[in-house]
Amino acid sequence: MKKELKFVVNGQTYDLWIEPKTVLVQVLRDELGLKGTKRSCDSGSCCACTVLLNGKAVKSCSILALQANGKEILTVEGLANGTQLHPIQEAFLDNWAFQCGFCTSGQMMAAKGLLDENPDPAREEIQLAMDGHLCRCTGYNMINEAIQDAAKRLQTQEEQGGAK
Amino acid sequence: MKNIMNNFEYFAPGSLEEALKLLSQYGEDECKIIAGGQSLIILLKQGLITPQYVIDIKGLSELDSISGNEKEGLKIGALTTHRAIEKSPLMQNAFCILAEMEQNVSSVETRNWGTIGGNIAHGDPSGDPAPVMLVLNAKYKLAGAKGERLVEAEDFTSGYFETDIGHDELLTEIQIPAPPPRTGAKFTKFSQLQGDYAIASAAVSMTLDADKKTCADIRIAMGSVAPAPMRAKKAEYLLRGKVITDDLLVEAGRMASEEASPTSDAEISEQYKRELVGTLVTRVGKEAFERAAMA
Amino acid sequence: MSQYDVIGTRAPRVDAPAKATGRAIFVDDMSMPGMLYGALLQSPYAHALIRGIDVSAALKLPGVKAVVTHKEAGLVKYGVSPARYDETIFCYDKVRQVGDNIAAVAAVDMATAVEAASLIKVDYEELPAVFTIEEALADGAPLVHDDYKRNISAEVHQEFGDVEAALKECDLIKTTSLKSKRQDCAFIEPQGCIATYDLSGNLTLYSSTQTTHYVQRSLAMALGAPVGKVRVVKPYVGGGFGSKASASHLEMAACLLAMQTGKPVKMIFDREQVFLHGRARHQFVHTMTTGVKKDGTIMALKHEAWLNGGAYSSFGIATVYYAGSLLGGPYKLPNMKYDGYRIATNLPACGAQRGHGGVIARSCWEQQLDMIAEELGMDPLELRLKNIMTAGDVTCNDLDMSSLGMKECIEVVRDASDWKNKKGKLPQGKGIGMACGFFVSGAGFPIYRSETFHCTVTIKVTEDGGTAIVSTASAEIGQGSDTTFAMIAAEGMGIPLGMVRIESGDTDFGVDLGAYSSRQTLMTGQATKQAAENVKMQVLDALSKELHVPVEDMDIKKGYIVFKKDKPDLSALKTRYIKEHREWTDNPSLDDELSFREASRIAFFTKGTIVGTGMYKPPELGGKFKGAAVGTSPAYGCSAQIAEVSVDEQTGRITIEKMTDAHDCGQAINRTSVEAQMHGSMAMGLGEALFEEVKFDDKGRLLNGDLAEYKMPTALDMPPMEALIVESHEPNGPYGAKEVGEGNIMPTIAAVLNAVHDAIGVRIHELPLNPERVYLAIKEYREKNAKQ
Repeated sequence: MKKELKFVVNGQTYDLWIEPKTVLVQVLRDELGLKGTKRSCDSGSCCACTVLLNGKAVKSCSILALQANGKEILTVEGLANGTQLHPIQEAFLDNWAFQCGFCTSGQMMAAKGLLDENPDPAREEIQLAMDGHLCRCTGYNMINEAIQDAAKRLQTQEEQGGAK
Repeated sequence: MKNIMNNFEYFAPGSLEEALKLLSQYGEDECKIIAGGQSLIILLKQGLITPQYVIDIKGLSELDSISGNEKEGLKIGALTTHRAIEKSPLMQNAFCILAEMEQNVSSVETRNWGTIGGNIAHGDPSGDPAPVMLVLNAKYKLAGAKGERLVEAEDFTSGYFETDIGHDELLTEIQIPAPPPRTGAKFTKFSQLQGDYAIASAAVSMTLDADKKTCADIRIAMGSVAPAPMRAKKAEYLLRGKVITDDLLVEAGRMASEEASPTSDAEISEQYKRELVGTLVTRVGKEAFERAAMA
Repeated sequence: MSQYDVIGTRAPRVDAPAKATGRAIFVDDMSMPGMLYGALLQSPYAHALIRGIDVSAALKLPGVKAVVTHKEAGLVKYGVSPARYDETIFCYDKVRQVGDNIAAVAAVDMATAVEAASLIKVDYEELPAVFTIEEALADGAPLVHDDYKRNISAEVHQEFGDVEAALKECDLIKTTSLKSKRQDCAFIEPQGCIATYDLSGNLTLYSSTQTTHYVQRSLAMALGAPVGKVRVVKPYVGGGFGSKASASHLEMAACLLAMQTGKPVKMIFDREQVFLHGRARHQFVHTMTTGVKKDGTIMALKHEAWLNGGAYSSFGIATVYYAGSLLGGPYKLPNMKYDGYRIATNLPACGAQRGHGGVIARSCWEQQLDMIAEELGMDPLELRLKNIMTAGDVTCNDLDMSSLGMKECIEVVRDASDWKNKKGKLPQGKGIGMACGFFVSGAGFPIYRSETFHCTVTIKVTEDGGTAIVSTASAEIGQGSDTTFAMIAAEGMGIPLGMVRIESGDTDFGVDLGAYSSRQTLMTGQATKQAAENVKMQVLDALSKELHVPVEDMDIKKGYIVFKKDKPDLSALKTRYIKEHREWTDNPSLDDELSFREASRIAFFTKGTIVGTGMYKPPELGGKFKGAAVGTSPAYGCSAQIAEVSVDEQTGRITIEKMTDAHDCGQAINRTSVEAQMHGSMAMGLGEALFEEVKFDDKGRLLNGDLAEYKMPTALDMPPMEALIVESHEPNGPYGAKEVGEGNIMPTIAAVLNAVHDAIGVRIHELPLNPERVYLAIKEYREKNAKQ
C-alpha cells in the first residue's frame, strides 16, 4: 500500500505517494528526475549516492524514502545558485578532483556536509570524513586538495560577506 | 546487487507508547523494526529478510538524547546517532572511549543516520560499540508492553545476530555507570582497509589503585572473534591486583587470544584473528593503563 | 617560454562543468519513450550441460515483451582476438562459468524483467569443473572448451638471443617467482546500455564502453547486421580500465531484444554482474631466472608465466604475449626467453586491465632485480641506472624506444624522495623501495587484422568562424581524452581552447579503435593534429587568395592571423566582414589584427563549410617473429616510482607513507591531466599490491562480488603522492606526446615489495600484501632465522 511522502528537495516541496520499500535514491532519480545522484553499489558501500538530509551527508540508497518524510534534502542539483557554481564545485573543477565524474556528486555533497561542520579541516580530517567514498580514478589526493581549496574559497566568501 | 526488496506494510509511530502498541500487535509476525536501517536495508534489498510489517522508530525523538556526566554516568537514548555520540561534549575523560570508537564506525554517512540502539540491537559480532559497552559495564533498557527491564550488556548478545530482545520489546536506552576514580579506557579495531569493519577489536577499561601502578579492576572485551562480543576473563583475572608491566600485558594478550574463539572466513584465517586480537588487547591494555594513571 | 600556446598548460577539463554539476549524462541517466527493461538469466553453475531451456512461464508473466535464448540469437562465435572467437551471445550446449548467459528478457519494468528471468527453467547437468591452474592442467581434467587441449587457451614460446649460453657467462643467477590474484577494474559506474532499433533497420546502441568501434563490429558480426547499420554511441562513462574494452553479453542481449520488440531496451549490470562479467586482470604466476655479471650487467632472463584466464579467451592472447614482451626494456637485456601459458578455467573470463599483461611480470622482475642488487652489494637504483636504455635503443624483441626518459625518471625520484639518505638507513619497520616500468602508447595493430586507419578525425568550423567542432569516435572515459584532443586541435589551428568544442564516442564520427592500450593521446592525437592543421591550411589558403599573400608567409596564433612579412592592407576584408555582421553583437574590434574568426568567415564564402580531416595508423613496426605484434608501439612511456612504507610487524599491516613518481609522457599535453593519470595508476597499483583479490568458493561462486567485501583503497588508505613529469620529445607523437595512463602502474607493486623488504627484511612472493600474508611471512622469516 502506497504511503504519502512529503518533503523538500532543493528548496522545492514535493508530495508523493510511494511504495514503502522505495529507497530515497529511487525517488530522487526515478520520480523526481534528479539524475545527478548516482547509483553504483546500491548496497551502502560506495557513497556515490550521498545527499544531504537536513544538512547531514547520508547514503540515499540506504534510507527508506519514507524516512525522509518532513525532511529537507539537498542534491547536487541544488548546490549551484543558478549558473553560479558553489565554491565546492569550483574547487572540484579547478583541482581536477574528478576524472570519470561518477562518484563526484556524492563526493561534493559529503564535502559540503564536512565543510558546514568544520570550515577548516586538515588533510587527515578530510580523509576520515571522505573515507566512505570510493573513487577508482583519482587516488583521492586531488579530491582532498579540492576540499581544502573549497574551504579557503568559502572562507573568503564569508569574509567578503557573500551569500552562503 | 539486485534490489529485490519485498513490499511491506509501513508504520511510523509518533511515540514510544504507540510503537510498543504496534509491536504487541505485530511483533509475533514477520515484523521488523527499522531505526537508521544502515544494516537492515541491505538485508531487505538482498531479500535475506522479507518482513510483512516494518515499524519505523527513527522519528521517536524521545529516544534521541544523551544526558548525564562523569559522576552520575551516562544515559544514551537508543536512537542517538553514532555521529551525535562522536561529537557530544559529554564524551570526556573516561567516556572519550565512546567518541573514539564512534569516529571509526563505518563512514560519516552511516554515522549521520545510523543509531547506537540499532547497531546494538542488530547483534552483529563485528559491531564496534558492543565491546566498548561491555568494558564500560553498560546496561540496556528494554521496553515492552509489560514494562521495562534492564539487561547487562554482557548478557545481551547470545550469538550471531541473536539478542535478548523479545518480540514485543524495544531497546530504548543505554545506561553507562560512572567510572570509579583512576579509570582509563581504550578501544581499537583492526580492519583490512583503514576505516573498514573490524576483523578483530579490543576494548579495555582499567581502574588503578591509589599507587597508580596496581590494577584494582579491569574489564577486557573483544569483538569479531566469537559469535558475540566477549569478555576475556582469564586475562582480566591475570591482571587484577597486579602491578601492571609490559610483560604482564603481553601475557594478558596471549591469554585473551586463547580465550577468543574466532572462525575462518573468506578474508581471514582463524589463527590470524586469534593472534591479532591478543596483540590488540596488549596494546589497548597499555593505553588504558596509561590513561588510568593520568586520570 | 613554451613554444606552445595551449599545449603544456593546466587548462580545466572540457567536461568539468557538466561533471561538477551532476549534469553529465551516463547511460543509467538516460531513458526513452516506450523504453523496456532487460534482465539476463545467468548460470548458477560453473560448468554444466544445458539439457533444455523452458521459457514458457517467463513469457506468460504480464508485462514481458520478449524472451531470447540462443534460438533467437544464433550461434555466431565472437570474442576479442579472431584467433580465439569462443563466445556466443547465449550458451547453447553448456555453461562454463557462474554467470554465463543463458537468456534475456525484456519487460515493462526492471522488476518484471528480473522476475521473468527467474521463471525460465533450465535443465542443467552439472559437470566437474576446474578453478585453479593446477586443476585445469591435471591429467584427465575436464575441458572448459574442447578445442583447448589440456585447457591451454594460448601459449607463447619465444627466445631472443641465446639465454642458456648467456647464463653460463654470468656471475650470479637468481630464480624467484611471484603469484598474484585476480583483480577487478571496479569502476564506479557499472556497465549499462540502451539499444534502439528503427523500422529502417538501423540499430543504435548507447553504451558504457571504452571501444565503440569494436562493439560496433562485434554487434554487426554476431547479430548479422551490416556495419553501416550499426551505430554505437558512448555517453559519459564512469571509468573503464579495461573491462569495458570489448563487447559484452549485456550489449548483445539489449540489441537482440530491441530488434525483437522494436522498442528501446535498457539493461544495466548490478555490481555482482560486473564481477561475474570480469574481463579484468588475470591471475599470474611468474617464475624468472636472471643472470648478471659481477658489475651488475644484466645478461639474460628466462621467464615462465602461467595465467588463470577463466572461461573465455577475451583479450587473453594479447595478455599472455604482453606478459613476456614488456620485459624487453627498459634495461638493456640481450637475451630473453619466454614461455607463457594462458589456462582456461571455469571462472569468469579475464581480460585486460590497466597495464595489460605486464604488471605482475614487471613486479616479479623488479623485486628480483632488487634481490640481485642486494647480493651484489649494489644500490638497487644504481643497478637499474647501470643497465638503463636510452632513446634510440631497440630491445631484443624489437621494441623501438624512439624516446625514453627512463634514466631521468630514476634520477628525479631519487632526488625528490631523498633516496640516498633513506635507502637502508631507515629504522626497523620503515622502508623505501623503488622500481621502474614502461608501456606502449597504443598497439601497433588493431585487434583484428586490417589495413584500417586506427582513427579518423574531422574538424568542422561553424559558418561564423567562431567555433571549431572536433568530431572523433574516440572514448572519453574519465581519463581526459576529450580535453587532450580539444587542446591539440586548438594548438593545431592556432586558436584559443575556448573556441573548440569536441564531440566524441560515436561511431558516426569516424573510426577510432577506442580507449585501450594507452593509444588515444598518440594516435587520435596525431589525427586531431592533422585535421587541425588541415583546417588552418584551408583558412590560410582562402586568405591567401583574398590578400595575395603566400600561405607560407602566414600563420595563426592565439586566434589571430600572423603575417610573417609585411602586413597587407586588411581594410577591404574588414569592411566586408563588418557588412556581414551588421546586426551581430560580437563584432571583432576594428584594430588592425585579423582574427581566426574573421578569416574563417571569409574562407566560408569561397569554400563553404571548412572541414579538416586527419587520420592515423602506425607505420610498420616491430619484428617478424610470431607474436611480434604484441608489444610493438609507435612509442613507449616510462615511469620510476619510489614507495615509502611502514610495517606494523605485530599485525602485518603495511601503511604506505608516500609515493614519489616520475613519468616520461613525452610532451605533456595537459600537465594536470598527466598528474591525474599518475595518481590514478598508483592508486590502482597500491590496491593490487595491498588488498585486492576477487575470491570464489569451491563451486566457482563469487565470495566478494560487491564493493564492501572487495577491498580497494579509500581516501584513508592513500598516501600523499608526488607526481613528477619528465618530458622527452617523442618523434612519433603529436607535439612529442605519448602515453601516461598505464606505464605508471608498472612499477607500483614492485616499489612496495622492495620497500617492505627494506623495512623488515622479508621478501614476499605472493600478492596481495594484506595484513595476514605479511604477518605470516614475518613469522616464517623469524622462525627460519631462529633455526639458523
